[in-house]
Amino acid sequence: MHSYDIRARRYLFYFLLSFTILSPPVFTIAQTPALHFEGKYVYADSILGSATYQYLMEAGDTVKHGEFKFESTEEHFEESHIVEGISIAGNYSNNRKDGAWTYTHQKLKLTGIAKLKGLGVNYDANGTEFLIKASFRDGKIHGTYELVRRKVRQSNPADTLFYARLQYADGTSTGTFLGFTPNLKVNGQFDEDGFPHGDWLLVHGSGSEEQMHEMRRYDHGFFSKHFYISDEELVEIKHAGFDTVVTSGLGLLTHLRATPTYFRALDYTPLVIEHAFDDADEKAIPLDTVQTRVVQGNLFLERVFVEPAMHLGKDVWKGIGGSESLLPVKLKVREFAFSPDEFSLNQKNEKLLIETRSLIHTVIDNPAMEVSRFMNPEVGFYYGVLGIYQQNLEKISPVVRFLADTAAEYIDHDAILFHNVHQIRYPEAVEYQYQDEPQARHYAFPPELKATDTRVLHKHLNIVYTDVNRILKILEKAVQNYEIQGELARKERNLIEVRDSVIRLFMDVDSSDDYNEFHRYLRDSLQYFMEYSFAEYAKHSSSERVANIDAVQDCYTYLLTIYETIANYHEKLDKLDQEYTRSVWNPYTFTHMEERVKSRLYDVFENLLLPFVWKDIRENISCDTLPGKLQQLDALLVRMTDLRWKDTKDMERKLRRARKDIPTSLEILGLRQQIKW
Amino acid sequence: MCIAVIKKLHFSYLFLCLVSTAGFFHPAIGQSERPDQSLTQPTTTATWNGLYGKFRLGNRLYWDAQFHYRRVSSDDTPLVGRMGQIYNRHALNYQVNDRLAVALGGVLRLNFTPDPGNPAFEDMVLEPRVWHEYLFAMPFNIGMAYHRIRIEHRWSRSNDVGADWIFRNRWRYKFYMNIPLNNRKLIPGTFMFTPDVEIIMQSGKPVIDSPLEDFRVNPSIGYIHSPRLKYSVGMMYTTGQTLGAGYMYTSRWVLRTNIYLSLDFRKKQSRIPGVRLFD
Repeated sequence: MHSYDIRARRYLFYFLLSFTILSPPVFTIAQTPALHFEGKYVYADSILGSATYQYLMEAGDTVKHGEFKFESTEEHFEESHIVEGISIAGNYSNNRKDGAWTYTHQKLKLTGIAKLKGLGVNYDANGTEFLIKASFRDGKIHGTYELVRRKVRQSNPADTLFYARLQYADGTSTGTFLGFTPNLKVNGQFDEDGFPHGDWLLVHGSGSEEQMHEMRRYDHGFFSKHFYISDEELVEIKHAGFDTVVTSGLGLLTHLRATPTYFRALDYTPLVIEHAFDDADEKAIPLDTVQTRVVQGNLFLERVFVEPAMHLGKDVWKGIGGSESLLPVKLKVREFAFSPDEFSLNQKNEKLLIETRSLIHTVIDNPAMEVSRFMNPEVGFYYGVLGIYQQNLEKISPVVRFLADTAAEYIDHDAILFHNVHQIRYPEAVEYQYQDEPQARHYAFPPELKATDTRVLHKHLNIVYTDVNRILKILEKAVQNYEIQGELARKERNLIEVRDSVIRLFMDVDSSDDYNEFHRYLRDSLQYFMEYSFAEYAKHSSSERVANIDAVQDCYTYLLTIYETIANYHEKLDKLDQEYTRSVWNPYTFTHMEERVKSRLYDVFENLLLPFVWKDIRENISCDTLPGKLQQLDALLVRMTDLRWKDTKDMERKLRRARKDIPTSLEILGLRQQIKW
Repeated sequence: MCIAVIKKLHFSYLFLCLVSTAGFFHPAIGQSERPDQSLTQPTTTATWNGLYGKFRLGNRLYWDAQFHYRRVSSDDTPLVGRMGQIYNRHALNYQVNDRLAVALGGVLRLNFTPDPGNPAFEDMVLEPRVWHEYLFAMPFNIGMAYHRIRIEHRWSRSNDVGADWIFRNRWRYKFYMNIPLNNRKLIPGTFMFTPDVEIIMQSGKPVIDSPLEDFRVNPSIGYIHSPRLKYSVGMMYTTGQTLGAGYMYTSRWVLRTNIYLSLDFRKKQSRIPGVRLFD
């Protein structure tokens, strides 16, 4: 029995072996030979990576057929170990995309320590991932289409930042739409022709944030009504310049593919809510909040409608071919086209505006003018005139730019101008300073303007442009006189640059990350000091200015460094705060609780001495006093650091008796010598 | 099973669970002199003033010291009519980790006469116990939830003159939460609401038809004064079977005030050192 069993197994083995050896040629003969490519590949004409794919050769041409995979990785090791990669994978059928496809872009920063895995090294990574999952049929998007942007934390997908899911049938969006971000959820649907249709619900807000239910009603691609829902009541959001579209008849609608211009046009329309609430305090959402959330909704829909297949400025599917372009979503809109004359005037108005503002800037930013206006009353006067022109041009600017934007043709621009009417008025006289004395002088400005008409705007801008040119000619002589002073002029140009840099920094014009409340606390005093000290300097004669300029320059440069110094104080105070904070385990609640140690001492520091020192700095800003004042601040911080680990019971008892008296408190802390009262 | 249900914080399920647990012991209630339906004793009131201390002795070791001053209602004075008990509970408490603590120790309770001046009762009898406890903590988004299993081995006798000592075991399970009301965290300055339910089962030779000794519902409001000091006040309702007459249920309202102290008895040097700044 046993030997029979072994023999039978042996026969079976030989049978299977011979079947295995003989069978591949049989199957190979039965199907068309598929070739395999593996090697370097350029995606979208610019991104080098590697690809593996199967293909057929037909009439000397490569026909992709079967699986395709492209991967590209770029390492930015100079930039803190950042790795950026693109991968695309899917299936071709006779050179046409078919079946499921994915596009992935990852930007990851390596974190943690290296881990050996086999003969490789693994790192955890944090960053972001952008993903498109698509389904194709014969080169057209067909089926579910998903866009995802999410965070990657410790090499795992974490928070989803953006999600959109559309349905396509042969390249046309149809069926339901679902999308969300952390603060917004969107539900909607498309009709069979690919137009958004019916009520699109946008739910704004998450967590503890108050929610707003926004509803956009599309009539086969035409954005016809807009509401928000308050206690099941529809509150209509009217768009000035847009609701007039509804009433102007639906037979004249233009079909278009969604563009940024369309959404820009929506952003131009001012919102109007005229709803009569039963209890306005309870239900009404402030218009600013509605406006902000509508803009957020626009941004979300723009991302989906305009660029469903775009990433980093590229059509992700076009880069490897085999499919038709995925076009933006179709919409309908009423066009309010400008006549050729109006269009031409609008473009001219924008050009006039830019040129006039540029001319004014050449004067305002000119250090020669900046100095001369304190010395020469004529320059001071015209400098004031140009300042008024500059302010009014700022006010006109949005209107001019709106009319010059093609987005204005998607909405009733006349209605918007009527709503956004900007009345420009000019004063009778110009006020300016000379020799520390306020002066006033009459000037014949153009008549007041209501910016509601292209032609009126054009006439006004022409008058201003001509007048500014005339003023510039008058000022040229003063500038020439100044420029010939050569070296002094060059130094003063630098001086003004440094002065303006200091003011910009302390006013946080560039929204710097290290700007803190101490900068904010000092900014008005500092700006006053800068302007006052410059005016004081500028009113001297040339010879006196030559003697003084280096000292003023040093002062302004020192104030630049002070910005950095103050930026660091925040960190120092945070550290001190941590140092005076103790974490204590509470065995009843099973939690760590933080508490202030030496609370009386810290309270005196935080609420009495620190404000006193900062106030002293703010009220005495000058280049002579500032170094000493900052030393006082440092002395206070160092003393507090020292006291943390010293026995301060006696000191705290005395502080209690001192009843928040500053000199006594300084005395108790041993700072009477360092900090002057 | 019960704990699993309770972890989901379904209080209604908890109630069902307790009822079914009591039902498990139900056959024991069947005695010969059992009335047709259960009886409830007149509701009494009491005041329990507690001082709880957990004193840190080592990195993970605490001395758990609890003291209760309990008064009970008398015929003419609710809540505080006469002395009830004085209660001392001590243990060594070991903090296994941030989510579990275990304790082992002893209790000495002083039970005062139910009828002062009546010579049929001893003025005071002692009741010693050995107890051990397993306390599990579970954080949730803003607060904490706790499961406490406490087992006590008690020797007691009634205040009747010449009464015998009896031995019983107590099986206690308590679920409670600390929910901050004016903060997102349990930090000093926080008022908190503490829902609290506890079931106390008992076993032992004298326990014939009264396994459910007590069921307590004790919601309270607490305040965290500092990491070392917490207060709470609440009104507790309790009900349970009477020993020797399982058909007879007690019913009590107890005003509870508690002070929780937590001090660090370690040497200063062994506490976390600081780091110097601005060098």
